[in-house]
Amino acid sequence: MKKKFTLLFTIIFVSSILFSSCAKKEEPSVTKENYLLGTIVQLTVYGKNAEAASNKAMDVISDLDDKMSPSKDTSEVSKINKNAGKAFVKVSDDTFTVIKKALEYSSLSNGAFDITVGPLVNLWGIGTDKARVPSPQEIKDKLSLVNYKDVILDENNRSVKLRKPNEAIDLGGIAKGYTADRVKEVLVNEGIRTAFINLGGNIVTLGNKPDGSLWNIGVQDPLQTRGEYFGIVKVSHKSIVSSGNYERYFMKNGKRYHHILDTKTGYPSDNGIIATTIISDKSIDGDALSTTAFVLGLDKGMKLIESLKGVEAIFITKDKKVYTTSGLKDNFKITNQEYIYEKGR
Amino acid sequence: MKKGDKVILIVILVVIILGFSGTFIYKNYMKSSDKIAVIKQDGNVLKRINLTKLTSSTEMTIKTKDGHFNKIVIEKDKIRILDADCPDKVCVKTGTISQPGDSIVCLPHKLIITIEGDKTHSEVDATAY
Repeated sequence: MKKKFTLLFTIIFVSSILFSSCAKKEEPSVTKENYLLGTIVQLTVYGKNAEAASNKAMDVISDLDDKMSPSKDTSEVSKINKNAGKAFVKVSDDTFTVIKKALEYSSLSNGAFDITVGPLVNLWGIGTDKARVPSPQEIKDKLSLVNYKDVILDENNRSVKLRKPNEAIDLGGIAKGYTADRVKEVLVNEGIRTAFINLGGNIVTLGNKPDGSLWNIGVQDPLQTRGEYFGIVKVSHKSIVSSGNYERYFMKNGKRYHHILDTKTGYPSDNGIIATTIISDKSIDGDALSTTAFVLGLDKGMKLIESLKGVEAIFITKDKKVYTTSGLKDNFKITNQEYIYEKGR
Repeated sequence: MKKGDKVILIVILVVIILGFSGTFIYKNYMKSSDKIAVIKQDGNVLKRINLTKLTSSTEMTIKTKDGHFNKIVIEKDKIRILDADCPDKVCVKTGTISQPGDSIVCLPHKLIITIEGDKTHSEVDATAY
């Protein structure tokens, strides 16, 4: 009898210790932070190989930054711009792929998304200390240099040329998305199954959270400071990218001039939309489409996104109305009740 | 069952209950709920300030290697960048932060201020912007 009790309680005691440690056992995780792509890059990687995998991923980001940064003199993008109207420039597979994809989105959106916006971006200088409102004539001059059809691709030699002198490409609306996809690829190849990639607000999740649940991603409240969200999307294995008039802007005479330029007018896009968010499998699509949808506006933007498979969107208008694509209803909720949910159109 | 067995039984039960409740209390209540502001420049932690325990407000200026600055105001439970000579002034426009998980970023000067602390109230893993 005595022995039985002792045995029984020994088992309970031992197993309680075992269970409590088992339940709370977490996979090792590594968080890395760096300044790349003109923003803050944060990676949280789970798993035994997290350290090596995250280092490899950071190297890839750094390499892509060197290739596509418009502000680095030696980047492939800078070389293409310097040789505008003159010569083809041989580029890496990465840069070629991104430019090709960008042109696809240009034709899909009828030029609402256009990487040849470079001269206009430089003219406005939004986000730099040279930001100013240009004269209508200056804008007209630079607009004549914006035309995605002037990007000539030589598929066989992986070379790119801009047709006219002074034309310039800017991959700011797509490079981060491509980079996030590549990071995910590198992590998967390293055997990682759970990771959280945040490239300056462009988020890509790999797998579910370590506890098996879905990731909860806040969507920026366009009228509040950075990091304040107005709603939450639940995802696993997705890319979430937002574009908005709150990201980079300057104020002049009480008017806000933000960085998403409408390539038809040459001025910051002004169609009633103040923010768009795209949830997609590939971040390159999310990055390009968030800008595209922002410029196209509610009706055309919504139509475009609904026509694409596996892509969902959230639009916010000036009057705090929220519109989503039909596939999003179940995993999106608004947390700031100032916003009115106009159901999917 | 003998008397001795009962004593042992009770002792073991008490130990188990104490052990569990101790862990439970530690995990849920004992964790410091103090808000800690962490000021980082180019990845290096410059300062950690316990905002909860602060009694008076302080101002401090952080210089970059090439002579630029961010002027930071630290008060009880909150922190903000008052002024800076960066081109976009995103850090100044961000305003005051006070919740664990909040951050102020000055990209041109590679400066980040984050508030650490108990994040159990936070509903999200991160915010897309």
